[in-house]
Amino acid sequence: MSLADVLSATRELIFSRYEIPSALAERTTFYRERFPALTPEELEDLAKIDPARLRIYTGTVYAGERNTLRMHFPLTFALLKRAMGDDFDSMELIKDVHERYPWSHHSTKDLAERFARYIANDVPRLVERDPFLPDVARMEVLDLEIARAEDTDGEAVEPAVLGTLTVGDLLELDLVIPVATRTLRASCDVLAVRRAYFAADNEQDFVMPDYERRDTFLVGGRNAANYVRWVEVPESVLALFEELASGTAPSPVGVQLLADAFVSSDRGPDGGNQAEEELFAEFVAMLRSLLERGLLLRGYF
Amino acid sequence: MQNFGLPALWGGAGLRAEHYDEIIEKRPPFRWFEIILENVMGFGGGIRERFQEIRKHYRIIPHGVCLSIGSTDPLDMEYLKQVRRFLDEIKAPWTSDHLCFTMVDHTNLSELIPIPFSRESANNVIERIKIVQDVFERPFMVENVTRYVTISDREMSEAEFISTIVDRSGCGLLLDVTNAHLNSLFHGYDAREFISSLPLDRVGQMHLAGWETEDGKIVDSHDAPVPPEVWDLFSYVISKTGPSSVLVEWDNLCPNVDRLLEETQIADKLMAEIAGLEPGAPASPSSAEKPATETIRGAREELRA
Repeated sequence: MSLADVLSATRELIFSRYEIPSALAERTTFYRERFPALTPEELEDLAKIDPARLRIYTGTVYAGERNTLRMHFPLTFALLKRAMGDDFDSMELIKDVHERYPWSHHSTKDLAERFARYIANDVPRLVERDPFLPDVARMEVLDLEIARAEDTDGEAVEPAVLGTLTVGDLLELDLVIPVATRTLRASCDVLAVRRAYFAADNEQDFVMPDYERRDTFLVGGRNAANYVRWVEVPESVLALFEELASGTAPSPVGVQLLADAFVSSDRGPDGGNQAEEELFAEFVAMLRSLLERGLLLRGYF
Repeated sequence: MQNFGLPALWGGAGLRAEHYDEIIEKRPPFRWFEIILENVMGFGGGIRERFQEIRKHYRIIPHGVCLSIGSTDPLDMEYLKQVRRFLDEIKAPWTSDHLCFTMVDHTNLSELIPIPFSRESANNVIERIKIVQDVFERPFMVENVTRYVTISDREMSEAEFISTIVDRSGCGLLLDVTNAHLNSLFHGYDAREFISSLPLDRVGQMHLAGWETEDGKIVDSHDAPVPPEVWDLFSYVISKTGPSSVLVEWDNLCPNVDRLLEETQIADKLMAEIAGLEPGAPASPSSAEKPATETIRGAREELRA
């Protein structure tokens, strides 16, 4: 007699897609074949349970997962609905996600990660039609992480301060990358898709923009009002954030290091011929964006 | 012992994110709030900021949903340590979770699934509660869950199962009066008899909620006002226990703060009438002996009017 086997069998019955026999005798036989480790008493007890009542749990478990995912992946769900039209069945989708990537931890983040993996790997026909789907799903996982990440003991730097510093003082400034900061490499302009979605009054009014299929490098974080914000940066700057941002502790970064990364970036056909002043102005504009959105702080070390 | 030796906080409400701003702005006169541990613990950002603001003005009692105390999967010690740190941070006088399993075979069902009422199952829960109590180092209670099914009751009834666990682990009981009522409907027994057979001196907190009926099926959805039959049963419980810390629970279709407050005041009024005390007064041991009589109905009708 084993409690673990009874709980396992209960779990299997809640998630099963097979038909459970409605007649008690048939059900007992069915369970005996299905769950050979159970004792006759355990089988009898399990068979006494009305399958329709067990299915209440099936409904509440899947509905709970669907509601959680719908809340954290509004844009991904809107795109799925748009791609699948009348065939979109959110409960069937969740059952499929659950079967392929069972939720193995109590955290919502774990569920979100598995859903994004499912979108990236298991719906190739939809991704063929909407190549940005995996990027959007990934971004929404990161939105969740950013929103909930622990606070960083740091002070926001007013972007206006940048204009008061000499070039030398600016480059000597020491900043920190907050715990909430995340990075994303996308294969299309996900920010444009996102902007279009949130600009629409409701889901029906959402018009997909003519998105650009290009590599996009994004740094996301939490601003002073605790809203999630993303900034597009050159790949070399993203690489620096990837290297330094731990996601668990604030990481120091000097403005000089950021400037070096920015200068080393490939900024298109005219990038190499820019005047130094113009290049510096572009760097300051990027730095201002990062500071305004809380992706860099003045930290305490 | 009365109320598991804990102070009775009287009527309180579940703190949900949709109420944060209104509570911060209006500072309504709630006595206390219960929070779902997993909705706040370890979070930074806006949730933490607003939670900390509310915590300055209200007493907070935590309640968990992810402990999976009835499972055979190993206890998640990282989770327990995280809870302990959070309990210390918010100076929680006690905490609680559900007498059920939510994970098995390392799969999260994210639902409160009942466990067999067997000796093996009781021993499993008792051993796990002892570990939990060692980590938390404060009073811990288990809550009776709504059961659409009975996994097994051949060795003992639910009341015997709960009594065994409470007795041998030293934990308390968070009595969900609505769950007791619904289970009596689902499984055809008398809710008052069930409640009378519980170790009521170990009840340190209570929950009350409403539910929805979908296609003739009752779902314990916490999305409706506490119905009269549950207020009746609650009055019966209070006549046996005296005042306690009583939470009016909403998880879906949450009403506005005023409506929420009104429901907690009904709970207060009933407890005060039955115990012969002013709402919010410290409960005396003798107050539990006052019978539930016509005064209960009188108080309730007055409130309804």
